Amino acid sequence: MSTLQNYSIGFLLSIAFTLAAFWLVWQHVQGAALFSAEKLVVLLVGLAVAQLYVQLICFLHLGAEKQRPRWSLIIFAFAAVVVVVLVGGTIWIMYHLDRGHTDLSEIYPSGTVSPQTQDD
Amino acid sequence: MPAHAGDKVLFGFWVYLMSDVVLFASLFATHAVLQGQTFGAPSIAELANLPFVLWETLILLTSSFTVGLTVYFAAKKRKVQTFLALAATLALGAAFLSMELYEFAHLVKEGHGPWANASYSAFFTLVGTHGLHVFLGTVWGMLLVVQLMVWEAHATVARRLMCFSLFWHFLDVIWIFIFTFVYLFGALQV
Repeated sequence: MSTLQNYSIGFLLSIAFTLAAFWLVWQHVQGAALFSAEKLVVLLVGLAVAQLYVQLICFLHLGAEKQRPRWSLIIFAFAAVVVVVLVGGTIWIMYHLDRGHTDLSEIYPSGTVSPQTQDD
Repeated sequence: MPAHAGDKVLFGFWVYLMSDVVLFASLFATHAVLQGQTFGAPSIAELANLPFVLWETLILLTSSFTVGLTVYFAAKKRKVQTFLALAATLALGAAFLSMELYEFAHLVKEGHGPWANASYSAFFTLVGTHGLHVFLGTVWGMLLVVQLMVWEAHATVARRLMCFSLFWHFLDVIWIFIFTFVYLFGALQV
């Protein structure tokens, strides 16, 4: 597959995924919902990941290095791990704190009231 | 991706780009956590105009395609086509920025600025940082246009165009997640 074909296919697929995502939400917002909000969330994430994949392969040529080991791919994979931990971990922790699943006294044994500060 | 084996500059730039991904991840995490904290005000997604955002998205996506063309023509040493593709990329980038600035100005004018509540702060920081990247990228691109026109050191300019294209593609990748998680999810009131 030539580079030009690669870019063109990537471009067209990305447009398709983008239009699909917007159309699905537009339908939902207008009241003509085809899917429930929960299913729609899964679909939207799927479309975003699909478009990410298409752009990584077709535009960024991820994995296309000729030399081994494929260092750029390795660095990307590491960055992905960091992102998953950072975003996933943050949301997990904050969700639990918000819901009161964590007893604050476990994290703050001295209590959560700010200590009195002296005025200068 | 390194076009030539052992091209350290491209690899180094790629590593930098991955660190920028982590930066955006932290902004996304913050936005996700603060999404509902509008202190009674409407969410940004409720205030946003979806067709407008769709146009922004398609414009940026097209510019990602044209920057791919830029690198393609640069490899083939076709100076005129490279210039045209790069110019198209920058024009589309500028169009995207104008639309975004208009959107921000409108929100601020209505009193929905980044200082209004935590959710708006997170929104403006995330989308604003992306916009700042696009702006700086556009400035860089304009410098590359000049280099392309006056300089004969083709290999260097081609390598810089390659770095620029990686940067530009990465900005569109980040935007995929912005329009999905900020605007589309927000419209569903997730």
